[in-house]
Amino acid sequence: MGQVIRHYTTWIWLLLVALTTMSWELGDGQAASALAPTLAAPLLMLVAFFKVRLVGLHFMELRTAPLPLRLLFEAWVVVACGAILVIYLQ
Amino acid sequence: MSGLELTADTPVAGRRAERHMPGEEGVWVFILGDMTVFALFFAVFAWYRGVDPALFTASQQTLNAGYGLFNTCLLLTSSWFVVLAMNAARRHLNNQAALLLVLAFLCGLGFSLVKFLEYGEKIAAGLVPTTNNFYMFYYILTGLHFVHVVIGMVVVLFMAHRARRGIRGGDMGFLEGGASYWHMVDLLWIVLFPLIYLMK
Repeated sequence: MGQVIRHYTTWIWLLLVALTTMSWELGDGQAASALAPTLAAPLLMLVAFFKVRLVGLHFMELRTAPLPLRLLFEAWVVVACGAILVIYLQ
Repeated sequence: MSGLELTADTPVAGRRAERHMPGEEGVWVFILGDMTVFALFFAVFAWYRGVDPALFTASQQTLNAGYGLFNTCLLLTSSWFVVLAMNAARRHLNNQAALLLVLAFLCGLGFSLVKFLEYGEKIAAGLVPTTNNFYMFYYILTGLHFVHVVIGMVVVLFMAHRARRGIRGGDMGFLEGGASYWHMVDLLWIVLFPLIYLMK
């Protein structure tokens, strides 16, 4: 099992859990009042889509996928994140 | 289709110089289609939130973000188990792959139990889809996602069965497709968690 777990994706998983906990702190925990909601909300979305990219590139193996597939994924990230931010900030 | 033949026989121990499609093309058409539908839902939710931000913020405060946090961590861990399972499968460690897939399934089961607990609490408190627009979207988005979780759990069990039986030539394409689908379920929840539970 050791050789299976000793893989760089284990670090990615730890980073994802850390970012999730930080997001929760920022949105609902102690840090929630430290930042203005108009600043916290876009930050939360940017962190979420950064996590989405980590999952896509490293877990879904799109980093080494054919370029068109990778580009479709990247385009989805940009459009989905952009749309939410634009609508939110209006 | 040459990519599929390559997968079955190419061990991953060496650096993969060639680009490789994880799973069959049809699976990816489905995954990207699903992701697009969810992206539209995200945008519509954000739009309705903008129409009545006070109602959405007030309703959001009746949610328990702790459940959302716990469930996000469960899905992330589940996804990681699937990555490790694929890693094991490529090294022909069939039993380890099967065990890791069962662990991934159990994380999905944990997610489902928390979801039932959460829905139960909300319904007991009289918070149902007809309560207001926030709750309508809350049930539609999390419910639609939950359907994907259940389908994914069945797929992951099938994958565990294939691994347990012994991975044969044609199995890697199926395993990769199933893994990609399960990661998509995780990926969509990563956006839903802050969108519904955290963004004020």
